[in-house]
Amino acid sequence: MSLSSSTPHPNSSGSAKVVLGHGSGGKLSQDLLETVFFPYFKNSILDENHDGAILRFGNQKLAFSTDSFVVNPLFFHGGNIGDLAINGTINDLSMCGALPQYLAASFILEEGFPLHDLKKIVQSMHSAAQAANVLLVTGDTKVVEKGKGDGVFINTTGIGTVGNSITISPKNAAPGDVVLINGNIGDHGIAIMSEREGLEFETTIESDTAPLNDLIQNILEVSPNVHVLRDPTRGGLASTLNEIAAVAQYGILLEEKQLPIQPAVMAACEILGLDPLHIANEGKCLVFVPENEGDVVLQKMRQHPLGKESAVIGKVIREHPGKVLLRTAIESLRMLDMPEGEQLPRIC
Amino acid sequence: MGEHANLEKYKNAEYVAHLSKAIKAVSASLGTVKLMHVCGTHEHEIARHGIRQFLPPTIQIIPGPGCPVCICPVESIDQAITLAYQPNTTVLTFGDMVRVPASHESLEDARRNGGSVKMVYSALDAVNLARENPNSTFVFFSIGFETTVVGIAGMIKTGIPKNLYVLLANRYMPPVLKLLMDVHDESIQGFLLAGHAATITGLHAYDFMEDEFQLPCVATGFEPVDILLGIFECLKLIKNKEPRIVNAYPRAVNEHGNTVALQLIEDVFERKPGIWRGIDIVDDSAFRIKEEYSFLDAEKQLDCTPPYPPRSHPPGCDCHRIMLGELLPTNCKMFTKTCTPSNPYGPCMVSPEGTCHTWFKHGSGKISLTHTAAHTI
Amino acid sequence: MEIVYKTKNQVGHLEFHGYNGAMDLEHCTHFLQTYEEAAETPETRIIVLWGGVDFFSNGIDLNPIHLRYNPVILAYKNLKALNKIVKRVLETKNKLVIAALRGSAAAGGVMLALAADLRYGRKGIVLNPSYVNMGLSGSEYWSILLPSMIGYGHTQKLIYEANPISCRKAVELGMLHDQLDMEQNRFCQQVREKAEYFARFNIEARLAAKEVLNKRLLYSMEDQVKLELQRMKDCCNHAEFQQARTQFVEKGTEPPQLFPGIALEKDR
Repeated sequence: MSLSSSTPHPNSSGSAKVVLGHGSGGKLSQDLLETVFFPYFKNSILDENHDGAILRFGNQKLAFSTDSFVVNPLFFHGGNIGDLAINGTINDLSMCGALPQYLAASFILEEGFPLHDLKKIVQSMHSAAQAANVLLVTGDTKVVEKGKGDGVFINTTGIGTVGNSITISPKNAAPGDVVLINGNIGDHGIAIMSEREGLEFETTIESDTAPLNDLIQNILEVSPNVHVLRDPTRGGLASTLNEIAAVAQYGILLEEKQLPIQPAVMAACEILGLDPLHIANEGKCLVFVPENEGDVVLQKMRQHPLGKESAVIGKVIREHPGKVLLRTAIESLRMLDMPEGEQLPRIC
Repeated sequence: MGEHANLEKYKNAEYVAHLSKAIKAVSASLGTVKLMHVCGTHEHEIARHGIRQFLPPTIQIIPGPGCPVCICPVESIDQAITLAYQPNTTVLTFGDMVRVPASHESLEDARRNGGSVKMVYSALDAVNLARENPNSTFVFFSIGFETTVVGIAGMIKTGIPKNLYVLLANRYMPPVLKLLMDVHDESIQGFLLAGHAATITGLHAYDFMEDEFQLPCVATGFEPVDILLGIFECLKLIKNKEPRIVNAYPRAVNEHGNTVALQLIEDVFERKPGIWRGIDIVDDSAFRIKEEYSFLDAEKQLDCTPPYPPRSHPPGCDCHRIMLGELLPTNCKMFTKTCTPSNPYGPCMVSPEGTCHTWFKHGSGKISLTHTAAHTI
Repeated sequence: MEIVYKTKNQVGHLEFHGYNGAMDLEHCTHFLQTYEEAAETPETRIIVLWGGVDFFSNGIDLNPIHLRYNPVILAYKNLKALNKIVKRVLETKNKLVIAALRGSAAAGGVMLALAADLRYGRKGIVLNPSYVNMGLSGSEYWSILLPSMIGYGHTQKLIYEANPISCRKAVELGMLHDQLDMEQNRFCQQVREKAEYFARFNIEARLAAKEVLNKRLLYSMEDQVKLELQRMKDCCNHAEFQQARTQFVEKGTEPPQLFPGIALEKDR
């Protein structure tokens, strides 16, 4: 996604075409899945609508997930495309309740890309994999002509083992569940956006990319009853929560006052006219647990280095099934929709 | 940021509840009251914060023509598009303006079709771009109300690179209030004036509302407490039959406005009749670059006449009636069906300040929860 | 456009000529001013609305409306201004108002005539009270005036079928009270004589009767008019108005009429 070349809208030309918004993680992405992919690939595992697939081999459950990374700029405050690619797949596996074990990586390189930069990226991937205790065991590299790529595209695929008692799925969200998050929202999206657009804010906002496997294992230790885990990446909290609400067919009520947001991110959003709930995150996860386990999970999360700012931010309700509501700081309610297309800064 | 923290008290739930009570009390004997605001940011904040949930059902806050992108005439966008196709010429403009459909295409379409269009965040960005690329021609396509025009006046006054021109489509709000009174059959009982515009113009630009229509107007800020305060003040004036122009945003607005800014505007611009997209030609409402500065006026110096006649009303589009507050987005058959932010049919769905876009995103701001679900976690 | 007001023998004579009988916004404003002054002159007891020679009045002026950037707003302003005139005429308390139709009338022009207390038509003129051919539902208090004067059923026919009617037919229905001489001068003379007679004999009794009668007419008028304006606004925004207006202004034609012969039978 890019701010300076905004989304072409689907009917501006006669026949429908792929538009940038199809990749934004919002409503258009959902439409694309439902109209193009799901009709062909429909099966019981895919239908789980999870970040990864849960596979059964006899008594052993495995989680299996893949993700491609296209990001501009490749290097930004707090990380680069390499960290993102490793952490992204680790996190997708973690969101299935899995312990990530092995990764595969594919690179599409553009002719002319500096080797020096590629080395930096690979170095970051190495450290990220090491930190998360996973092994990169297979891979592939292709080179495309200059102008046909954007420096580097990376795909990573991973597998992890899943404990037998663990059943985590957006379907499991139930009324009374509390919704937790492990820290400040919007950091990654704003870091990328300010880097790309050369916007300067008083404080440097760093991407929050990080591997969540360890944090998730800690949570699962104290609460084997975790209902849902999800990382609110593209499309932000609003998208992810809407997806969960739609699958579970319950409502989700968020409390604006409880949302952890850095003042600098809030300020950037106000200047740009963006909603922090629509901004992408990395290294963040949403945790749905039954109400009575909320406290112990929150305590555990706060003890972890990646969960110091953890907070309970909402709950699952019976009313407004399939919708996400936000109770604002002034005690009013509003519907929180999936962002449509890309987030454009507004003028004023 | 520092200012952010200071604004917290204007988002305070207790103050909001207090004002909500006061509004109920003051409006108890008034019957149905129709107030109009004339600022896209007001509608955005009203919907986003669910401000209508704090008002009794008899108090209607109608969104008026306050979205600068929406009211920008097709004719001007056509000119910008024509310029974007000129060799070695780049049109620079603000965010969502690029997506607004004009006679045949939007600036974004023009870019896809080989025109040169770039988004900028401020007039200063335009100056910098022109400086860095002295061999190219740049046109800053300027839109917006009183607030935005000050920056452009400042930029012109301090001198801009020779390769930068200005295509000016800025509009001046006060004269439109008369038109609104007419269109609404004098049923509007008060106006909430855009606080930031009033910081520039001051309150006296609206004196005619008091003299001609005996109608109260209240300069209103943008945080929830500001907005409710503006509504409360307006209702109080209606109740007391005091049709005055009142300042409910004193931390930013002073009665006489920003005299330096006003002088700057007067030095560089004059006002002429101007088109408000789909609405009408409104006397005295269009800023024009004065003769003295015509050397940088894109309309005079560059060829910006499109090779086709303007087509202002896409068939069936009711955006202009929504801007006038005659219709609400929910009255439009296309709203959320064939017209969405990712696939907008009219300008009100394009701009985040457009009423349709706002309502699409946040609804009109009326939702309820039963008591059991409503208790705070 | 020309508005002339003269008084003679306690009768005020108001002539208003618009090109093709059209009353644009400015014309309406000027008319209202003149009428106000006439209504406030104590010595006159009767006001005669003469309209123009060729046309009494054809209501709002579609030409400038059609040329306007957004025709809807000007159309709406124009019809509201004409509404004000009709209202003012209807609410004239201390004078008897006579409409003298030297020429034909249409739409709002017909309603302006209907707002008067007595209405005389020159033989040979044609009335076209419906707005429908112009893609409009109608304003100027038509929905109160027409059914009050000619009954609900006749109103339905006139409005929905949208055919013009002859002077004689209008008298039959009660829209006009008399068909006078076909020759202009004699027509005017006849109207003047009537007006002067009314002014001279028992004018107080006539005005008292008017007050009683009009009380019913004006009852709940405002709600009805609000609805008229709402629907009129919708129509103004509808493509039918635009098409009919384009046809009328650019080609000078109205849609083909259904059975014109029946409605416009020859005057006897």
